[in-house]
Amino acid sequence: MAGKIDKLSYEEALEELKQIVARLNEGKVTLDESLQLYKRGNELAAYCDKKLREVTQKISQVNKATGGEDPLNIEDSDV
Amino acid sequence: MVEFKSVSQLDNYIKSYLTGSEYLSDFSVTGEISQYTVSSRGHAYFTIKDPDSVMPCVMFSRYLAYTSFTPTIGMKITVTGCMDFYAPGGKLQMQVLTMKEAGKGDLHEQYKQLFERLSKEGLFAPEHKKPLPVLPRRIGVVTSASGRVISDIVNTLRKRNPYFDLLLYPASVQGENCPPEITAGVRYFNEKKNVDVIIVARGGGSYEDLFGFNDESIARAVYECGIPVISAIGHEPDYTIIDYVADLRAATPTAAAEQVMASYDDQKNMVDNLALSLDIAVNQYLTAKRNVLDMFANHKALHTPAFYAQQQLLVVDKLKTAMNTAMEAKVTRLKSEQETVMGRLESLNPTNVLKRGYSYVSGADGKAVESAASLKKGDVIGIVFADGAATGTITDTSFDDRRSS
Repeated sequence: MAGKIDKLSYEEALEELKQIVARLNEGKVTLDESLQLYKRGNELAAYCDKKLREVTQKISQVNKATGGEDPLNIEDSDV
Repeated sequence: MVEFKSVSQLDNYIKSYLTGSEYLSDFSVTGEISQYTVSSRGHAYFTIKDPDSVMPCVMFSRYLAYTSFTPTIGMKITVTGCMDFYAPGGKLQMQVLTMKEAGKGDLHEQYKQLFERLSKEGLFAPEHKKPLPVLPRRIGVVTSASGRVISDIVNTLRKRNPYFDLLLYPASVQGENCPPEITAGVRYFNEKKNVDVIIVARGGGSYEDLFGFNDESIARAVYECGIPVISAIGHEPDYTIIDYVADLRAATPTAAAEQVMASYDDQKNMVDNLALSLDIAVNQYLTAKRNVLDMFANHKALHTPAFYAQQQLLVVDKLKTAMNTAMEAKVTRLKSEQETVMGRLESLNPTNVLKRGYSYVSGADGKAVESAASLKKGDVIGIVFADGAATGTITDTSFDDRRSS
């Protein structure tokens, strides 16, 4: 099994999770392995989920004069 | 003072005056069609206007027959002909001989030439197109800071989910500043590399309004951009050069925002489904093992396998206990996120095993200790109880021959 989960990219974690599900479905693992796989799989799923939520909503615009970014206020409306 | 003998004489004089005029007997003028009707005899009666003035026009059927397009209200046209005075109506009008769409000929020719040149050079090649990011964490938008487009995009994103970060590069989307500013916006993101995807957007408008996006510098900036670019210029039927160079062309700015979020939604569903598949897979695995073991265990005649089965049943129970720990961590996470899958998880949770007095022994490697034979004096082990854990050191081992078979 690969190393520390928080070193993985979202894509890598997702790929490993897919492989774990596939191996468990195949059923050719020992009991002990199945436990390890299950633990690892759960950690990977939680990590992917966290990655999906780690972006906080922010709306800004480029300030061409300063080169910085200014907050941009856009009112909620029905699209 | 001139004294006309009759109204007819006055009208006739106006007619001959117009015919003799250098400027009014042969000229062209451009305006927008504001009314348009074709009479039963096939003559077109219409008016052209600019913001301040209106001119009634007539185009007889024999001339109208040579017009290659269907004039419609709002269309900008250039007409040639002469001024005429319609005596029965006492009305000054323009007699139109030819009519063409204003400017369109030239612009369309420019567009075609640019399209062919860039196409030959390979700027529209499908193999050059980049896929959209799997997870668009930050979205760059190049469009006008005022107007509906940016608020449509933001509100579409908000409606889909709250996890996005958007950076707007304000740019003119019309007129002579449009091409340089749009180009600068695309280049800005490409240099800063501070977004995962770029949307270049503009709301609907006339052919001329959108024409700024038929620009070579924009096309090249998009082509050279290392970040995927989605173009969303005007409405569904409008195509400009940028749409052919972009990695993806969206029908509208709203559609572009949805495309970006579609990828996010796909990922969210995939992770949720995989987490569920994992639970199902491990449960099926354990159920299958248990069924086989139960079969052996119930078969009293087969003593040796029965021992083996009993031993394995303990292992399964230990395993389920350890799974419980993993499950509980997961349940805690899901609880905190108010997920509804709670009920399902608890239904498959093999609790109470530890509470019945079993405990679980793990070796230095964290794995379940399945056999006394694998331990020796001095080994450090972990013992997991229902209410906690303990660490111990092996002081002695004894070995049961019967059970090892």
